[in-house]
Amino acid sequence: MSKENYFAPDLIVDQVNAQVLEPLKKPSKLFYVMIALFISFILFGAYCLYTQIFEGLGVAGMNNPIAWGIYLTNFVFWVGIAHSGTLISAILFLFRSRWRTSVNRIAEAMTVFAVTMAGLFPLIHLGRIWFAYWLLPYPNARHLWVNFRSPLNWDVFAVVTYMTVSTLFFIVGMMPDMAVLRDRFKGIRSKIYGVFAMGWRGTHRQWHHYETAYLLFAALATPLVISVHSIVSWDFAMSSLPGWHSTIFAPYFVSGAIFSGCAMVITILYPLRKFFHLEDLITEKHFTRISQMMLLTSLIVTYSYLTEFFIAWYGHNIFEQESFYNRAFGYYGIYFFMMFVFNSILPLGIFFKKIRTNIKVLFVISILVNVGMWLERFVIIITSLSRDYDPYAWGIYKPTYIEWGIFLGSVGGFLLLFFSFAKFAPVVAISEVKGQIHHDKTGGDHE
Amino acid sequence: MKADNVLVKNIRIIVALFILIAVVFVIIGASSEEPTRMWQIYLINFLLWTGIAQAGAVFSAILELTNAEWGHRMQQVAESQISFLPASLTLLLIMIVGAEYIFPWVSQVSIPEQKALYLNLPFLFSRSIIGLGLLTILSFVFVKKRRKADDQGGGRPRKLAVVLLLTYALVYTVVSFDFIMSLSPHWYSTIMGMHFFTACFYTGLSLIIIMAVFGRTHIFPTDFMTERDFHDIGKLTFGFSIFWMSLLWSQYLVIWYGNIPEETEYLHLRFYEQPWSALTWTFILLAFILPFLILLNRKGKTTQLVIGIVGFLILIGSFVHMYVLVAPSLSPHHAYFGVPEIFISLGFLGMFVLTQDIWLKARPVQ
Amino acid sequence: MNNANVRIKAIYNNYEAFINALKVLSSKKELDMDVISPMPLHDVEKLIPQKPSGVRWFTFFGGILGLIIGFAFPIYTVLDWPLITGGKPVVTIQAFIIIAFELLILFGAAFTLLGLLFHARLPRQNLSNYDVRFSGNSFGFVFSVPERKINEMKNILQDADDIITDKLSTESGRIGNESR
Repeated sequence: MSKENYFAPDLIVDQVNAQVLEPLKKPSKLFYVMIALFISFILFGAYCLYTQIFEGLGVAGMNNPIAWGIYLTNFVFWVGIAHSGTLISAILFLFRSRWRTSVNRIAEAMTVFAVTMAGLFPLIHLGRIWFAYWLLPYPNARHLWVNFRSPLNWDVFAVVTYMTVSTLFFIVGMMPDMAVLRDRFKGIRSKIYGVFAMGWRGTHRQWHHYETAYLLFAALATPLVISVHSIVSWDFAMSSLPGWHSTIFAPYFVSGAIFSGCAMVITILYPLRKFFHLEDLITEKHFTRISQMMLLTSLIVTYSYLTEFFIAWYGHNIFEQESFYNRAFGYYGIYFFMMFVFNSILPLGIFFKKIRTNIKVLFVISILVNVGMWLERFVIIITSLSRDYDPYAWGIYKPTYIEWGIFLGSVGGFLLLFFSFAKFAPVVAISEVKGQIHHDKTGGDHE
Repeated sequence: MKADNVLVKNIRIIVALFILIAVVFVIIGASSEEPTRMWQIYLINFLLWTGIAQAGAVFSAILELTNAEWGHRMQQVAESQISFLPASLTLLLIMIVGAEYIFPWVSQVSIPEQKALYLNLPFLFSRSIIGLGLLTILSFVFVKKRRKADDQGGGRPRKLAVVLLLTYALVYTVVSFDFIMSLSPHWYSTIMGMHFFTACFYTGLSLIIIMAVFGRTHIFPTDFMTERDFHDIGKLTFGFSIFWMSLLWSQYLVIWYGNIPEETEYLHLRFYEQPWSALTWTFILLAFILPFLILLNRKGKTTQLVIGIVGFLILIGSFVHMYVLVAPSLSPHHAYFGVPEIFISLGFLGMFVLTQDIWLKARPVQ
Repeated sequence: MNNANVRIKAIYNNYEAFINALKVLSSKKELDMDVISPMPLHDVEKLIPQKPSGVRWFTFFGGILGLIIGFAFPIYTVLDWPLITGGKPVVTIQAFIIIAFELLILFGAAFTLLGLLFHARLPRQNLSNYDVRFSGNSFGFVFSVPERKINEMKNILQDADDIITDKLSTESGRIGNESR
């Protein structure tokens, strides 16, 4: 079977360095405009956070039945975004998918930055952010340790592990490319790249160990990525709240996370590719592949929505039934229907070849899916809390501008980190692209 | 094709004997005073072998869609499994006779009126016959088109593969709700469908491995699979062992933690009461722990005898798994497993082998 | 001086020429050389067979260590002050499986990094036996030989696009072994 070429057909090894290093040289004016925009987002977010710290959590809209607001929505949203990075770099590596090369670096970077943003939200949500160290497992003054039976504590372990492992994977994956940069620049930049390259030379022994280590990282990251979002889902599913307590939550959240992550990859890849002229390395075929991943995960998510509703009806538990009726037709019903259209109906378009090969349309779909997946978490968290078992304790939650501001700040932070990364580091895995082109040209068998 | 073994030469006579004995036991069991005992093992075997048979087409469709370069010949082995599907439909029709003894909600347990809209025999059997019938047709059409595309070139049946996979997920979810979940009429679990179709596919993989390893010495060309093919299917099986376990674990953990009476009843019976808890641990050991540990090693995936044994472990483990899914709901106090159970199970096995033998004689693996 | 060592860096732009030279050089067992390339090459793996990397043992023991800590640590803490919460037993294995799993991955990954650094002899600062073209699109060799063999080597490396030779000050200036 002939192997599909995912790069521009006339690309040769000699051009890879130049192509990838192009963005590192001369930033255009638009670049600085974007950076300024992101920094203004961050400043506004910082102002909101400042207000919350000094005024207290009361400035946020959370109230008694609805103690988990959009901070936790954002947390789940950002952790979810992170997942596609590990999927593309680790799982597809294990499956020997050739198309992952040249988008895996961007996806890995997204993972690291998205987890960073996610990690902030539980701390912000706690209110007294200066007591964040209480999350760590150590005995307090009364010799009580943290509660290892609590899913929230599992989350601490999961997110810390995820952040560490994805960062290690990211840095190790970049080592040979950092050597390229070290050799192409002079002065202080060369020194800094040299630190990340760690003296990499590319000897046959180094490559041998490197390839083994990379494979092992991928093998460790794959079960990790599934466990992390499962644990996030169990923050909800372990309770006995109607609408949260559901056995399907783990696979449902994992596929939802990959779904939203793939959408975010497209959302980011589209401008990045134009901005930095990476058309030869990142082609339409990459977009098509990612969109197919989106379609698959979208179908699993839809399956989960429908199963949950069916079981709520079938189970004949009055609380479950009421909870799901409220989810679809209650106060927040409009968000549920938006979520359903964006996550379940729009992606069906990817079945059509015309749509999945049209990058612009995919870009629009991906943005709407991002919105839809954010709404999904909002709908799950807020609607379930707003109608608990006891009608006396029902309530309505409206996020305040403080909460929106902090969310905006996190978006700014994520994009700023990402654009700075794209400006200063290789956005495409140089050695992997070279390897793939080289093997295709010399006819050597890949793997 | 080689037929140097006495067993292989006389396979049809042997399996015909198995089927005959099983038919006798089915008739005796159905007319005895305790028909549930017979129907329960019948249902277990029906679900197990139908799942395996369907997994053949699903495996082939997945390979078709992922452009997997390694599975071309393995696809042909897998596809031979669908030959059981028409027989499985007949076996489904026979179950109508015993429906009263299989489904507790028919006469023994009263269910709410609303639930009865879904759980009633006419609706249940019409949806399962239509669903499984549709899947059977889709599988056969898909396999035919795929083989044609292989032989003569031309369009690959990729769209059909997508339709097949979607229908599989949907129909098997409904089957799991109807034939497993409804056996404990008050219990529900949203993950049941996903868990069931994953388990079926995993069991199907084990049979593909067994066929590939042990069929090589008797029915297939000896060189038809390379070491790398075994490595690949070993990796796939390894991945699915983890995935299957993670789904089982997700169900267990959520129910165990929530500890809500109507959910916990199901779990408590299977994990904390004898003899079921021993059986539960048996299938976890056979179908997860041992395969996991063996396949962790590269040699475990590439040494044919080892991976063949892993296939058998998973197959037996999956049988016990299916037994634990079904039997405790129907006879909570006693795990029936005697002579009738063994011979009825052997009859199903014989039926499967017979259909597969007919298929492979007509379409030998190239 | 016959036993003074000379370091040779040979740089190839042409892949076929590089492989041909490698075929000759790899047959010389006494030569301790580094084959350097901008990407992993399977032809090199075939010509210079290497033992399976020892990195996997780091991963394995890291994972086992994480698993043990992941069970031992929570069990120690709950027994330190037994307190029933949520109606679950004091030693709640089901919950600790999750901690143990996460720590298995965490330690496994951390030890993989250590294993890579250990086996690839990283990080290091001295890049004298390296050339920046190796991270471009050139392949090549770096090794040191006694001075008397230099002509023989140059003969083998005649198709190289560039050869750089340095005399090494110390006699035991073995270069190639620094990144075993």
